[in-house]
Amino acid sequence: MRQSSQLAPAQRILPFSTQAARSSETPKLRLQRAGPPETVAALDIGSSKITCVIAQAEDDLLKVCSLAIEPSRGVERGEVKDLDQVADAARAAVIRAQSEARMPCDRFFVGVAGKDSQGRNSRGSVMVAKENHVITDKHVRQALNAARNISLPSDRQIIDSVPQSFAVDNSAGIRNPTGMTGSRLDAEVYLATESVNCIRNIISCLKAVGCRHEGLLFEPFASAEAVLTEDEKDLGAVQIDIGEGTMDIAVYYAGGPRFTRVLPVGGGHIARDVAVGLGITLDAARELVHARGAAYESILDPHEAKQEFDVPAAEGGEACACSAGKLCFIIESRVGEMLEIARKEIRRAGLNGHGTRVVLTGGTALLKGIAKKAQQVFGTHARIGRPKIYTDHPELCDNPAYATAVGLLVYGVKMRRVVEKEQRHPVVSVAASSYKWLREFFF
Amino acid sequence: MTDAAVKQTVVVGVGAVGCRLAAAIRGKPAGHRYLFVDTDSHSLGAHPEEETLLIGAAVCGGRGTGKRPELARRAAVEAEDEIKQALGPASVVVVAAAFGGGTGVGAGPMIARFARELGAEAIVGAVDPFVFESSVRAEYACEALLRAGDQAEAVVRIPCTLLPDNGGDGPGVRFREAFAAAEEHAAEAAVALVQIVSNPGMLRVDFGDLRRVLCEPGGAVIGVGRADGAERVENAIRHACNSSFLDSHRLHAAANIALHVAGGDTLSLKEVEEGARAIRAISGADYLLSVDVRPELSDEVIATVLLSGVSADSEEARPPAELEGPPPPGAFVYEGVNIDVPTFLRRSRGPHARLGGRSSAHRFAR
Repeated sequence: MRQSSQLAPAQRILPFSTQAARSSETPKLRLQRAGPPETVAALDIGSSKITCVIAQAEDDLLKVCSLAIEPSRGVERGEVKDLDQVADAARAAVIRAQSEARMPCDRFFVGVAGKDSQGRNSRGSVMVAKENHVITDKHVRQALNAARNISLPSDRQIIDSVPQSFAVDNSAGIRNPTGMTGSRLDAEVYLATESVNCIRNIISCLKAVGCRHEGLLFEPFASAEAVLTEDEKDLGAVQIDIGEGTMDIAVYYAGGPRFTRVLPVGGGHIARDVAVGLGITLDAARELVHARGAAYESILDPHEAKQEFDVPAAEGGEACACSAGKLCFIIESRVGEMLEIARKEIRRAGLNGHGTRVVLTGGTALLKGIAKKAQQVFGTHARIGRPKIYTDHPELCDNPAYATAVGLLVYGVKMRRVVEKEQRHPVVSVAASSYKWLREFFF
Repeated sequence: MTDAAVKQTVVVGVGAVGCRLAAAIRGKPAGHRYLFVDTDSHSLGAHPEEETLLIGAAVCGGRGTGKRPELARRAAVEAEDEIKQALGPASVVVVAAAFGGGTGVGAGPMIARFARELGAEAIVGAVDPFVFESSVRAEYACEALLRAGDQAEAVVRIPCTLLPDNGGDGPGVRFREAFAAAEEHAAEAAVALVQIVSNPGMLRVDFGDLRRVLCEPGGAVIGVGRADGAERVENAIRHACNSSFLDSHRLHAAANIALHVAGGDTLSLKEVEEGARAIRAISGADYLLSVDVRPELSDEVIATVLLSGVSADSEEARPPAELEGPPPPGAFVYEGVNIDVPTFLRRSRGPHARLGGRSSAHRFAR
């Protein structure tokens, strides 16, 4: 693609990204220049499905051209367990999306969130040495690069970073310091790190598919781009993306992420619980959860809750009778526990009071009553996060199951802007030298 | 049994239901003091001839707690001196309280604690909420059981079920009759409990033995059966074991069993032996046997069975074999719990299961 081919390989590899966009550009997706529409593509390798989306970005609009969904195989708890199977499924999704979009596209923004993903806060400083002490974009980028320049174990790598706030001299909590005067600039950055092996596996899959990644993006950040409003990011929100194999938690406050956690528990556990509890097959359990499942008993009609219906049994067994109340009990137990774990994790991070609202997204957010359950567990407002995107695909529109895929597109475009900007005004720094090292490492 | 051997026992009814239960059993086990404690002056007014104690006048203003255990707890703490004074020099304090409301849940365990501070042995008789009451009540009960276990020497759950055995099920059964039957059942269990803890019986079981059985986490469950005629001991034990509550818990899965047999002068050694054999046939667990002879019973035999440690190994709560044992490699273990095991199975083995018929786990099993 035209835009992608303009990027240096190093910048494609490492999404040391988006921070300048967040700090110096308007928060909403906005393309900075008029011109022909550019193509952006995202690949979300999940535990239940692999989603490939190709979209056209033009002015303020992101229009989805094609959507391909393939059942995922070889991915467990967000991590690649069988390269060949994942590559086969991803290849099928990519080919279908390409043919539907009628355009070749071999560079994708790919989501990363395994159970080994970790997040941490970091701080970087730079001295503003000019006579007039005016802070420029260059100072901002230097401070951000310094914050990213942390020592990590050899098996871990930074995959994403988002600025939280800046401080000029003793004045903290600044969103955009460019143009201000001061002698010292500090940047607070939230860094997401992942195990090198996990990243290598994803890159190997892409190679096997025959495409490359334009950027690896941390999925909780991507989902937040799709579903959280700017107000929620400012006032404080807990985003819980419950997929098939993982539950991604992200706490946003004062405009930036403060805490992230990826836990290896998700919607797959709900289906397994139902299969065990009712003695039915896993597929039947999934269908049952999808068709009749509810995560909060109080929303059930008392009469309907008692009415029994037949569910197909596992091989050799008799069809068993189940009521909505019984099914809800199994599901509510699991969902309540997952949300309780999320609440504990947030509390442990010392962020108990920062989430004024809970936003649930991911495929499991489609469960009836899950927002009410979250409201009960967290004791605060809860809503379902539905990605807003212009599309002809009705299944994509407002569907929380595709929050990550849509988020990868939105976040990817933002990242592309940052990379373009950095290309125009390169900063030679330690981070830049690490780009080079990583390029040699992977290619 | 001589009067000297009977310990000085105070039965404390806490809250509206606790007071009702205490009033129902008043005088049946003779020679004990009865104390009625509540935050609601109207509720205490229903027992004008009894020794009453209104607590929490400042917190509740002479009204009920509105199902808020925290208020009752504060009320009890405020009235600590009065409560201790009212308890007096008792050697055994039996607290009867409903574990689904406010006053019983909040003040019951606190009163047990005050009794222990006075040097008495404190036992809490916890009346479970009805199955059809809200799950919040069950949560209260669960929390109160755990708290009571910390404060009292032992907790004994008194079932209050409306099931076929006590006339509560079936389309034609009227609520009033079922309710009266359940109340009678609970009162009978409470009487038996007071008898056992205050009067060790002929085949003596001291309080330490009893405590070993009763102090299991989640408390013990009590069942009472009566019978006369041929094979009366065996039949009484069978009735006690087949009372709906114990049956649902699968007697054979209990970790500890205490059997108390009370009969008239005609109670024979052979009958006691047969009763012991009946228990052995049902369960291989270690059991504690105590026998009491009360001339007033004449031909009737009362068997009381106390079970504890039932929930962990109860058949209903047992997970499939493949889910047991150490977590497999790659399993998600959080705070020492294997999260990959279905939540409802794990919870049915936890403290919720010990609520028996009204726990959410139990509702599922049914």
